[in-house]
Formats: sequence, C-alpha cells, structure tokens
Amino acid sequence: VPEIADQDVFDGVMTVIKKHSSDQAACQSAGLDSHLLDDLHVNSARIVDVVLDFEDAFNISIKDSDIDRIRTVGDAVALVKELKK
Amino acid sequence: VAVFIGNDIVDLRGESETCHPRFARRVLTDYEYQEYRLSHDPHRYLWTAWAAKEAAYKVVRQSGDRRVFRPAAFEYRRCTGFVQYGGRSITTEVRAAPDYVVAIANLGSGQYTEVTRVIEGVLRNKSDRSILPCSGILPLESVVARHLIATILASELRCSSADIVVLKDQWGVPEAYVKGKRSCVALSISHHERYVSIAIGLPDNYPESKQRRR
Repeated sequence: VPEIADQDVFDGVMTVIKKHSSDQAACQSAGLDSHLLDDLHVNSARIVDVVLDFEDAFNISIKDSDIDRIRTVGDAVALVKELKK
Repeated sequence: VAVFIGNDIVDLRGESETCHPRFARRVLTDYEYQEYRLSHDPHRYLWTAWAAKEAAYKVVRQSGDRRVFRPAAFEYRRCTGFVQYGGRSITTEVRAAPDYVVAIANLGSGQYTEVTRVIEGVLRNKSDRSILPCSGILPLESVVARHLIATILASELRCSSADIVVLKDQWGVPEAYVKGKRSCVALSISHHERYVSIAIGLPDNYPESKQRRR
C-alpha cells in the first residue's frame, strides 16, 4: 500500500474539520499549529464527529485514548499518518 | 474548603440531528445507549446525557484532572442525578427547557447559582457590546458570559462589577479576580448557538458572600 502523501492527509483532515468548524474564515488560513477548539472553533461534540469522519475518510479506527492526542491540525495529520501505516 | 462547578448547555434547535450516525454509540456508555434506544425522545436524551457528562468533566478538570474529555468514560444516571466517573459520583442537576438543556455538576462544599440567557437578549443591542470589558477581543458569547458573571458576583460580594475580571488559566478553566486578587469562587461558562449559561460556585464560609442559597 503506497504511503499517503502529507499534503493529501492535510487536505483530507482539513476537509473534515471545515465541515464541523463554526469559523470557516479561520479554516481558510489554518495550518498545522491551528488548535481545533481554540482557533478553529470546533466544539467538543463536533470533535467526536471529526474523529468519526476521519475514520470514514481514511478507513482507520481511532481509539478513544488517541482522541486525547488530537489538539491541533498537525496532531490530527500525524495520527492519521500513523494509523494508515 | 473548595467547591468545583461545571456546566454545559445544548441548544436543541442548533444541535440538529445531523451528527454522525455513530455519534450516539461512540459517546454513550452501554447503559446510556440502552436508555437512548428506549427513550421516547432519543434526540433529547442524547443531548441531555451529553450535557451532564460534559458538565461533570468540567468539574473533574477544575479539581485538577487535566485529561481530555472522553465522553464514554462518564456515565449519566438519570434516576440518581449523578454522573459516574472513575469511581466518583458527581452530583449533576439537569434542567430541561423546550429549546435547550442545561446541566450543572458540582463537587465540594458550597452553594451555586446558575443563569441561562439568550445571548442576544442580554444586551439591548449589539452596540452595547462596546461598553463591556474585553469587547473587541473576545467573541460576543464570551463577553456576554463575563458580563453575567461580573453582575452576579458583584451582587454576591457587594462590590462593583468593575472590580471583577474573569480570566482563563492555562487549562482554559475560568477564574474570577476580585479587585486584582484571585478569588476562590468557582466558575463555569458554556455557550451554544443562541444560549449562554454561567455557573458560579461559592464555597461555604466564603467571607464576603451574602451566601445566597438556592
């Protein structure tokens, strides 16, 4: 299975986050350091939707304990890449 | 003597039923999921349980446990009014209105007061925002929450609302500063769509307080 490119993961992650963010303007300028709750205004309930959509979009399974690790866009990209290996 | 307080509000109209099909299964415990499936109003049950769990989580976080919220680690027991978490029972009161549900959880020794308002209704018009502290820096809902806290605390502590500043610590937990000094009053803020809810916990024997009792 070819390794998924960083840019593809980032784009896929941002597509999901945009769907659940209440601040579309912030999503337009989001980077790896953007914090999901504080910067992109994804509330705690929508974080769960983000995780479930990651599972569907990337065909992975994310444990509850791994959700702790998703604080920034970069954290999400790293987790998806790790679980896709 | 410490008191810990957590609240959470869900605007049921704003929280449409568009969440992921596996959302309920993911955030509810087995016990809760059974209740959800048997409920005559699963949508309301889901968000009631969610609010109770998140309110309890805020109490746990305020008391020093800094872990990230894992909804399925908290179990709401509607029949007892407790949320169970890691062997602890956290008293959690739920108030249901036609359009929203709000939960208030507390631990420790003290009294609390809770206020829920329509965000836009707190200010006569949006231009009022400019006269409030922190305006222009924080989103409207945060300004409104701070305005409510300052107004209520000023009444409790018999001081001016201008003496009260609400800041968040490094973990995002709100704290009240009265005349520049950090207060031992516990605070919790929640907002969702049209509504804002604030909860204030006053420890027993808090000297400056009139000890309003609910």
